Amino acid sequence: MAIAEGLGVEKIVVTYGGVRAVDGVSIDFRAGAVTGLIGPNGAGKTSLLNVIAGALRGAGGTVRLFGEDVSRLSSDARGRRGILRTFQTARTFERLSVVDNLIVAQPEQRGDRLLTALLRPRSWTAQERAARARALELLDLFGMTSHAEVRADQLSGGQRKIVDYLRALMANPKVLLLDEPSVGLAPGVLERLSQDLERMKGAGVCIVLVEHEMEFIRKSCDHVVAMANGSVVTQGSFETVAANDDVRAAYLGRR
Amino acid sequence: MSYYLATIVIYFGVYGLGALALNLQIGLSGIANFGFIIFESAGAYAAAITSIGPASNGHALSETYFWGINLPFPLPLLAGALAGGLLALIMGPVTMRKMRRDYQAATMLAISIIATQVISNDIHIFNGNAGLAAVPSPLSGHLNVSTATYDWIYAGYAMVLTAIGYVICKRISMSPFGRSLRALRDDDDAAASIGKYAWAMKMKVFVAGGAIAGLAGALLVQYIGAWSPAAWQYAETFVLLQCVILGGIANDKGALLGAFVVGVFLAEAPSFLPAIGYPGLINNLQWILIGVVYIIVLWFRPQGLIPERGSLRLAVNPAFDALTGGSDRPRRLRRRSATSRPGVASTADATAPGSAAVATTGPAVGPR
Amino acid sequence: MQLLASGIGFGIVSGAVLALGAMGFSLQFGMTNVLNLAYGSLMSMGALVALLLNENGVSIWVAALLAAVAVALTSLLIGSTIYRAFARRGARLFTMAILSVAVSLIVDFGMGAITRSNVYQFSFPQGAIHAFLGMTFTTTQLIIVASAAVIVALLEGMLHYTKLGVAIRATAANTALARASGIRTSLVVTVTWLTSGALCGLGGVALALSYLTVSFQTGTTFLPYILAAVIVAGIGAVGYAALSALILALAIQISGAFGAAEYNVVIAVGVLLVMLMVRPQGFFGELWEKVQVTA
Repeated sequence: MAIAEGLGVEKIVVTYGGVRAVDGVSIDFRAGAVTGLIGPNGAGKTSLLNVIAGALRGAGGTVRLFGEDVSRLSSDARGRRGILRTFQTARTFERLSVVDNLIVAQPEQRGDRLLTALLRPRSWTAQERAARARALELLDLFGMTSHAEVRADQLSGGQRKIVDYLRALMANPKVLLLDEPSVGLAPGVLERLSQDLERMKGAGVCIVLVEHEMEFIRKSCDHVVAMANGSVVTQGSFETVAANDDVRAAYLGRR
Repeated sequence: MSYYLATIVIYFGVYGLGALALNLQIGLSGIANFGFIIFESAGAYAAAITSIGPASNGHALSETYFWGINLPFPLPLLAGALAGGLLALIMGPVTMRKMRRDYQAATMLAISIIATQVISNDIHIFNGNAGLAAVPSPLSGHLNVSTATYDWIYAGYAMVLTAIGYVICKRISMSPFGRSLRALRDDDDAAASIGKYAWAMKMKVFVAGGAIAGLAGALLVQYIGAWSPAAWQYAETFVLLQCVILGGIANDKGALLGAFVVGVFLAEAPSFLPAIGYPGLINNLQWILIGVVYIIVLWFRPQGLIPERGSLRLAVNPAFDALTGGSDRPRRLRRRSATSRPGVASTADATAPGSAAVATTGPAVGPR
Repeated sequence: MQLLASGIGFGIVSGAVLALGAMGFSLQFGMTNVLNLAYGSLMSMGALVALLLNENGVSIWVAALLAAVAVALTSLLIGSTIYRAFARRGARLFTMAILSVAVSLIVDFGMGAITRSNVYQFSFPQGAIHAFLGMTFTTTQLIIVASAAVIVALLEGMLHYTKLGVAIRATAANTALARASGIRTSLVVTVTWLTSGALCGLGGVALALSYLTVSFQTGTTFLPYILAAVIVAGIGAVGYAALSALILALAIQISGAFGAAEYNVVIAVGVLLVMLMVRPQGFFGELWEKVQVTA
């Protein structure tokens, strides 16, 4: 069932102690679409996300990006291949300014090498300006340009979430793994995020959205996958999944 | 008196180079190198054994392994830098792995303590506890000057080396590579997620810092003429660390300031005081003071005197452009900042007092 | 064969000394999560206090007890003032490590100032020589080994079979949960500082009695071995720290008997590095996931 276009995971297994947090899950995530991943706590959603990102080594299964097997790649190698992610608790580079938090994610900077920085200090200034301009544009999407020079440890939780998200965008993602991006966001900001996901979708990015906020899922997702106890319960449009009895049972706790 | 002054300048240079290198490792990149002094020591030994000359001093190593070579200036200095870098290259693959930072610190400290023990106990390498003596001063044979004049020439030479070290470290830290290092230091998982390969980056900095440390060691040994385990006890790392912390973590100017305050005043100036109490009391008191200063600085001002810069702020920092020879001419700079981001520098200054040398201090919010 | 026997003999004695130090360190490290690099300095304190008391006529048993008390109280003082203050402020683990070095400098060179940086030659009667399976031990050495064994057993017994021990292990594993279940965690932490300090002090006394050359720096130069033993065993594995201390000491002394005697100490570093590469949580580490500081 693996499509060469987009992200595919096959038979992913994750074990913690003796428990199978992810039990042989296979899903195809289409490029240019938002796929929601829902399920109660402990369903294995974040573990699956971490395996795709390369942050967690599964006990089995493969991850494919546009047909290429990336299962053996480290998380930084996957980052360079275009698999970008946000974190459940937003992570920022605390002692860098907001704008530098983004610029650092710009791929292929000439100045990002020791010898170039040392021996050819003028060679990277043009790229830096371009990256900075781009970072400010991204900040502008969420009205945060005025915070560009603020040190990241001064930000509120919601602002950190946005910086976390924008940093992923800055790195030119082909795949965007979003781990509960709505948590802590004011409704207006959530709306802007929704619009931005549309924009990224249009650009052909494959978006995986792990969420608990159902309205956000309904509005943003083209396809929804419901998980429980480490397996996929069902998948389809939001309406289909929401109406499914097993999904309801999983959420309400009935076996 | 003139001798004292020249010596203090030289020590400022040595501490300055050490602090700059340690700042690169700990301050910028989060490499918990509590064993830093062994890199300076490697440089000192390398410079010594490549310049000591034939065996009349009875130095086992220089006789057996190096045929008593006496390399001309500046080769022993370069040998020192090479030794420091090489040591880092060897240790890096094991010590630069991902681990708890305090574990890394403890491990590096343990290596430093054990290294002193091993070198002290083995006569065959570097003459054990007695160490090496009669290390010649560079070009002393060729320059026919008085000792006092030579000392001042050496002081000038030390300042040149320190300036070079400063430029090197500044170019590294005020670059995208430096920013990536700081990101890695602040959150290595997030840095990995955007494609930063931690181990390679840390290795580069570890080796670069090791080379500069080796240079500092070579500079010192060629002045004082002798080197033994007593000169590089594990605690010396923490004088340098204090230069970094007090001066300002991840700030090169701060490292130099710290080297001046701690290196000159705390560490060296007291040796010129008249002896009080029994011999060695002042030395013990100095160390106690260093410990106390640590606690005070970490409690009241952990960011140090000159704090870390928030942004690279390429376009708005004329000092930065001057130093790196930024590609834009001043005219283009002014026009750009006037129309697009007025006052953008000030918000960072609010959170990091004293960090910026920027003239614009307007309101934080301007037209976008 | 004789070499092996003497290596084992020395290994057992130095293993006993190392075990005491390692257990104290592991106990405190497991509880507070602070890598207390001042521990070596406290060990020197134990050694010097016992030595100076004994040289002035106090019986070694009393001197050892007083040394243990002195170090226990100092350990508590440092832990409950300096470390706790910084921990309350949310200091990160690395900052605590730097802090512990600062404390170590103050304690070390404070003792240096008091003792005038003297290197003391302890002249403690070693007693008769006993031969045993090709190994030779003096009476003093046998007493040290026996005492260490008893202390290890008592500590393990306390940790696993008494209410206090359960409280200690619970607090070490999850302080908030322990507090919520009614354990008086601040008291437990106090007891931990005192106990680990006492073990440290006794380790220092044993060190003085075995090595006989003592200065204010003796303990800190012993620190790498303690670190190696503790990290191999793992955080929170107090009993195993004693075991790994013994094994490490045997490895060092046996290799020293056979090979280059100056380089056998490098084994400690080698062990440390290999452990951190292969299994940083140690063989029996139970508390690897902890990121908070409990002080």
